[in-house]
Amino acid sequence: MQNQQFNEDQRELEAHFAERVQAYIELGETPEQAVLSARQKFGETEAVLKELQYQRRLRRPVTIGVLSGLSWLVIAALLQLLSGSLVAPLVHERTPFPYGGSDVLLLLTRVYFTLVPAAVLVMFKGVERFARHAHALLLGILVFSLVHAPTREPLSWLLVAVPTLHGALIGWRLAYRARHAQQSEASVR
Amino acid sequence: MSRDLPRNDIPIFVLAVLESGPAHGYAIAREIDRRCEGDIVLRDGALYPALRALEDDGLIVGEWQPSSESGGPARKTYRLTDEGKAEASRRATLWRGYAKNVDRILGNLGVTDAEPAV
Repeated sequence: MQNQQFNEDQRELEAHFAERVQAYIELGETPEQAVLSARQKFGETEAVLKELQYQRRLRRPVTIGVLSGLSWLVIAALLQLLSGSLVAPLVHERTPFPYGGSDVLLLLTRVYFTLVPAAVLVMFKGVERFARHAHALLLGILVFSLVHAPTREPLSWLLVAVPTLHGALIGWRLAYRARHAQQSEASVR
Repeated sequence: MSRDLPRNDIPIFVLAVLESGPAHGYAIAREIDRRCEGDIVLRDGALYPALRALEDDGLIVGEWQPSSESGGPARKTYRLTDEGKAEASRRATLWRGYAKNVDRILGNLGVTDAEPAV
């Protein structure tokens, strides 16, 4: 599949280059001069092919998913750093629930202070940039949310993943609404 | 004075050219050159990453077509999708707003025959 795409790219670039050479010949250049001029105008075919390959790799759903998950982790870590000193004393001192209730509340408070806003932000910017890969973005965030689950039990992961999913869906919706609003504005003008 | 076309600006130029009708890579490059009368230099090779990104975003569709000349190579012709048409109009509005504001900010700066302010 990748080879086929590479061959198609090469075929397309060569056809373009040949037309550029022909145009220079029609302008009165010798064939040798025309090839040099076309090369200058076109750039190196190999470099373009490499760039297209790199771009294809970067735009694969798996890569997009991993990038979105990692971005989400970084933003969540920053938010945790900023809100950490605020959340823990607030929950522990003011809500002394028995049977570990305080810990669950602390976890949920942390989730809503850090993971949810990070998910909103990553999905909003991600859908803006890769509108067709929203599912990969969402899946990336959900898979990486395993990192934040306090234990390896499914219930523990759900405590983190469900609010995160909610945040991601809000970000997705906001991105679509923003795009739709801009399109309506453009069509009115 | 000519300058290289920044890569981030290529997609809107491609969308604008395809708004007039389907075209292959070389025709798009030639049309951009014609419209800006050579004031902005587009490296032909830089066109293709933009075309692939627009294709991937579903804004344009590329189809291989046999050459109109006998024995000529097949060419990939691109056309706007419905989503692409809406996006072209959205980006054009944003660009016009941006250009208008840049013009306001620059004022008479660099205009050689501007009358002096009273």
